[in-house]
Amino acid sequence: MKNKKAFGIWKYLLALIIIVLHFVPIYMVIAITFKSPYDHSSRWIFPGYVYLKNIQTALERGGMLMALKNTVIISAVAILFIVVIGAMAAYPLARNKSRMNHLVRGFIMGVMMIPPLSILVPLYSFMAKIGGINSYWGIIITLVTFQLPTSIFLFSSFISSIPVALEEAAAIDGCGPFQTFFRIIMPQLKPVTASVIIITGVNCWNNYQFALYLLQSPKIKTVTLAIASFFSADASNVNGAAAAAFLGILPLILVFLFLQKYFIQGMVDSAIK
Amino acid sequence: MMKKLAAIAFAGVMAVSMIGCSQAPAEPNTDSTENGTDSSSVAGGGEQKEAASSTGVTLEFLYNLNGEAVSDAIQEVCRQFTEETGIGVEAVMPGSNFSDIMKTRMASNQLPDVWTTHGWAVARYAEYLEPLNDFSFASHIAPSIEGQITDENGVLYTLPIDMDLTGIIYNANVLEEAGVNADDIQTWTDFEDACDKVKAIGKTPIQMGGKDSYTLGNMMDYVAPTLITNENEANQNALLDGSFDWDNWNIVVDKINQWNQNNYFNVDAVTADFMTGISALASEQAAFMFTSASGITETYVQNPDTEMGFIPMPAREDGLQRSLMTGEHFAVGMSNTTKYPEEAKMFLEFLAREDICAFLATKCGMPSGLDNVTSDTGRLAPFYDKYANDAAILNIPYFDRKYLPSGMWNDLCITGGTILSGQADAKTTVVNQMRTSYEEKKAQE
Repeated sequence: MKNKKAFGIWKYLLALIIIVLHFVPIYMVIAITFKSPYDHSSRWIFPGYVYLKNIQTALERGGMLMALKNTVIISAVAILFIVVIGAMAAYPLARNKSRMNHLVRGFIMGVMMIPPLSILVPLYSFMAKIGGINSYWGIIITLVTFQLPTSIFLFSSFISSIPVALEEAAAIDGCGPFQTFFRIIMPQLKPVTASVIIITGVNCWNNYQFALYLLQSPKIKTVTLAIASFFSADASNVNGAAAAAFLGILPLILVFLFLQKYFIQGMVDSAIK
Repeated sequence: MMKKLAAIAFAGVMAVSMIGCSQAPAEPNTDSTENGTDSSSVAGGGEQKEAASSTGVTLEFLYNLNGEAVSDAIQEVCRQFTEETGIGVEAVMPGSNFSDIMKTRMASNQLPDVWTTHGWAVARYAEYLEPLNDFSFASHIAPSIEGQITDENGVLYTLPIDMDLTGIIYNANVLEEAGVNADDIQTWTDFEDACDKVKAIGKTPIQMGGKDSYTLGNMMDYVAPTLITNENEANQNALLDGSFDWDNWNIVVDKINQWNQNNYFNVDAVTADFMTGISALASEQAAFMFTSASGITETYVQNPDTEMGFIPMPAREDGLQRSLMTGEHFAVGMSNTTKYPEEAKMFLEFLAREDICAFLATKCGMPSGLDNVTSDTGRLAPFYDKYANDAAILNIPYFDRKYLPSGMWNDLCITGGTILSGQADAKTTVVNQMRTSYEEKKAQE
């Protein structure tokens, strides 16, 4: 009994430490965002005043509104493809356990192991040749390609746990493979779809390395590039960068705060299945 | 939901109230630019001329200079070029990854039409750059930078809008408080005496920002020539022909190691970043920093009321000359495979025009790289005037660019960190790494 109580305290202490660890970067971003660049006090100290010029700098010099618009378009379209193509590709892989499919699945999982930057030069050359530099579709194709293995892996594991009897019943009622997939299987995938959207969506939103090379026109820059533009080798505007980061994470935090019930439910359901 | 938000807000307020808050600082006068130079717009920019009709061509111009004043000036100049010629210019500053982007674009042979060569016009970009000897500005290149931007056959690769004249930057108020006269620092022994005096008043003698590893590379790059190559032709030739005895490098390691043992560096020398160093100088907590004069400009942005300056690199011993490094700062080259060679040429000629070049060099606060152009270097002018034409001071190229094979900059950064981290076998490790890397890269040349 005593042991159980002691474990309970440690559990809360551990939770508190994790909360603090996660809160510190957000605290720093907020503190620096609202602090004057001429305030030389420690970055740990919160400003006793509200300084909004950093936000103005992020919006005007950093072009954060345009960056947010670009990031929303790129992330939303990429997530749509990642979910739809991922689910459709995972279905036959999960259901038809042939040797060939085993190989295909292994190959797709293998792609997850390739460090994206290791193929940067051929990727850049190829994208330049097909005109994909500085275009929405170029970065979207790249993001979808590198996120699909995660999506296929999650969907195929989940589909494997859905009873085959459901599809047999649908077949008896006259459903073809496509109808079965869209009408019977897709509605079952809601929980895992939430997980896929969170995992791959955050990756798309935060993507820096591909955006850095594939999107060099200021008109098409994303949030991460807008933040990076405040830094160079010999001059940096940390306050402007923090304000841009603050604006960049705000939509994600708001979306998560308002939809966390669904996300957490999705994650739990996905785990139980 | 509202309860949760309120709880989070309450927790935040509690946390903040426990730490305390800072007071609003006084805003500096923003009538002048950060380096104290005139902030007037580009010459001729105020005149109302009829804009040329668009040619439909847009040049891609990649540049690596940040800072609001400089960046705004570049954008303004590009706008004016478009107005006058109808040729669009998309000027892009991709942040601190500029060098990596250029390497990728070189590897895939997809270079921008025009780009800043940031010190590498000859050593790295020569095969991708159009020779500029036929341009009208080629006869006006300042003699002190000409050698750094032309190859052994006299081919000119880049337009030097301004030039770097680099020494060790210092905070004059800190030195004054410590009783040090910057002009008295002639040798490294004098420099070390100055560091002892600064340490005695409880301030940091040498500020280092090792998290940004290039600051460690800078330190090695600044100290090495004074100990190895200045007024030592044998070592210069040995480094160039591949016969250098790397046991000689111990003298560099020993010097920096001794500073480290004497606690001249900030305690967080390996983990602090460059901007923390600038803040330390701005708040008059540190005396010296191994960085170019643009560091002074940055310091004035944070605290216009402080006094900054720079000194040449001290000499190895009495009787030898002090030295300043000269190199490219804002230098622009054009691709030899650009789809728009005529338009790119027009753009370079436009940048070299006296009014435009003077405007840009003034914004950078640096002396112009063209001898027919005079720039206003603001608060740095006394130092450029004092050192630029002083025959007692050696003008030397950046050590790594001149004497080390391409790709060894990283080794300088890494080995600088090894020394400062106080590793037990640092001396052997550093010398071995430099020797191995040098031999490997020389073999590939």
